[in-house]
Amino acid sequence: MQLSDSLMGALFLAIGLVMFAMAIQFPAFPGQPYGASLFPSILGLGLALSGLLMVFSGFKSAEGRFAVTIDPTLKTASGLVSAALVVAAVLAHIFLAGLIGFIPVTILTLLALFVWFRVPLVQSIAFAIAGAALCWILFAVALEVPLPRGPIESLF
Amino acid sequence: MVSPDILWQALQLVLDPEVLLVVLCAGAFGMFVGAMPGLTATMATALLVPVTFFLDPIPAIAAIVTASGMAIFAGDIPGALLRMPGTPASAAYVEDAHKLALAGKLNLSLGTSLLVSAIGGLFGVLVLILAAPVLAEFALKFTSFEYFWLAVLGLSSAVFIASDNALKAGISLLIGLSLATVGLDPTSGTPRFTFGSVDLLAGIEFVPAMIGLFAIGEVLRGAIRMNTAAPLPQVPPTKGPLFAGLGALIMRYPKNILRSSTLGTMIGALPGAGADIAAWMSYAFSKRMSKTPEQYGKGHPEGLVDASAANNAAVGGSWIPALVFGIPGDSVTAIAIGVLYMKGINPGPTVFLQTPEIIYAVFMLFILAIIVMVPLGWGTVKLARRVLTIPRRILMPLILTFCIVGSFALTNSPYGIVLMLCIGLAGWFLEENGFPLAPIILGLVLGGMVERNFLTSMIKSDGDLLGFFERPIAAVLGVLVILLWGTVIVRFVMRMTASRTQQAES
Repeated sequence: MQLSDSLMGALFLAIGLVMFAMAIQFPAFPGQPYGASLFPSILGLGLALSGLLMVFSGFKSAEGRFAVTIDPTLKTASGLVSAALVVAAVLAHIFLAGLIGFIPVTILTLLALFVWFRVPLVQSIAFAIAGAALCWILFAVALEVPLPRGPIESLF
Repeated sequence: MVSPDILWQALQLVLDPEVLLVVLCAGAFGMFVGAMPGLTATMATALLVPVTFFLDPIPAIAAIVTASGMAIFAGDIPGALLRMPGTPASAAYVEDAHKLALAGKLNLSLGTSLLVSAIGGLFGVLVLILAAPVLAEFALKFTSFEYFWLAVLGLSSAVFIASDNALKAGISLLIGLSLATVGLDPTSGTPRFTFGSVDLLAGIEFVPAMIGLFAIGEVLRGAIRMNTAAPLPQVPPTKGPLFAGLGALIMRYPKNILRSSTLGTMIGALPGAGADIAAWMSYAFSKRMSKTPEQYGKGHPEGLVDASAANNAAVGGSWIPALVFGIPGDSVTAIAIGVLYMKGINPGPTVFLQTPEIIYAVFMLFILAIIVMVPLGWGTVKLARRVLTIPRRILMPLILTFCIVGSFALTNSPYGIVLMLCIGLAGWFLEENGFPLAPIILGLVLGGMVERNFLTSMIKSDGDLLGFFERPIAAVLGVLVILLWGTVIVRFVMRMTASRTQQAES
């Protein structure tokens, strides 16, 4: 998704100003005019200023001042679903892994992605199980990372 | 001069079987990732970091050094075979490499890349070995003033020299520096921008952020185009001896190799500019100096020799500021510095004094990585047909899972994954809009150091900004920063007034 420079600039102008407003409230060292707030305030102002410059340069440029262009592949249903599936797979790991365990979530998300990317079903199942097992062995067993455990993981 | 005792200790560190195994595995991994079109050397490094987190410092550095060097060479393979550069560093000479392959000189093309890459890489490392200890001795005299200016100078050059749109690169850098301020303030312990979250008190974890920036964006881009992308073209066979006739070719261009290795090392040492810029610049320079500039882009080996030497020399060069001052030269060294911090080693001149064996071990690792590169590279070229037919539709979901587990492993909680997703989506959006990502990671890694040195200097000089110019080296660095910014501002103002008069005239 592409925003015109003026829109992008306006976004950073807003972020910079909010950041500055928050940063000047951080307490200073006792008896000194600077402290926790000085550096982030400078950064906030810098962002706001750069945003402002971008708004101006965007207004001068030939491309639309408030144009929003969406990647043509993202407009097709196929591209959109692909992107959504990637994000959904990550969300599943965030919200579901704690409930049903790492291995089932990994197998399900991999399977969904493989099938959507038109990998033949038998191959999809094989690679999904192998991928989950490989990650479990490398991270949970070899590197002792406490990956979320569910009913399947408690078997080992 | 370094004592043989230290060299012996360093050698023992390097010849440890664990380190050798790591070098071999990371080398093969780097070759594989580099050879896959669309997967970059930075991504190879980013994917390795969660594993290095669990290793000792030396094997961890070994993994990063080997993987990034291999990936930069391996990027030449799909470039020559398919006209698809495997990494951005191979893009400069992809036309020449591919046309040579089409003319039946594939082995000449890839053999040249491999051997000249090794020579260039070795040159960069030699400069690193000679320059770093001398610079480190000099850097021992530095105080917070010098470090502040040095970091600002490095970050400024990352913005102004290494990018084509300084404003966007500047915003990227400010984003990175701002992300570094999240969490407890290092001097007073005040929580900043934490929005009441306990996880954010510890700050933005560097590894999930980096995986998000350099891997999630690529995965998303790949996924979106997966079902509409054209299948890979037929891969030509890779038969025959790889190194035949290379001696003559290298003997024909010794000056080119020396010139481009020097240029590559220098560009690599500039903060923010890495192997890809080194390759482009030396290719352009080579074309200008060549007797046959019209042959460039049509399958002429001269530009290939120059750019291959330069991009691998840049790898060694980028470690000079990283090891001596703790200021990374490109995104790979930024990642490496982040890893060193995690291991409790703060890169800087004191490491050369206190634990010189670690520094010399790193030097030896570089040489080892280059030695390993030649046989591994040969093997990868021979296996290239197989590697390139591994379908991306199977690879991408597996890489995504690896990113998720890697981010989880750093925080041992879903917080790492949340961070990776948020920063990954933001990074993807920024990159789609033409914002470079390398300054973000430079800002994130250096933010803490810049702020600490700034505040320490402010306290020392009691808030007097003139204090920043009282020490001679600090003054020189400060003036350089002001000159750099001054030129940029003057040029910007001149361009604005020029376009205004143009508008008024029309």
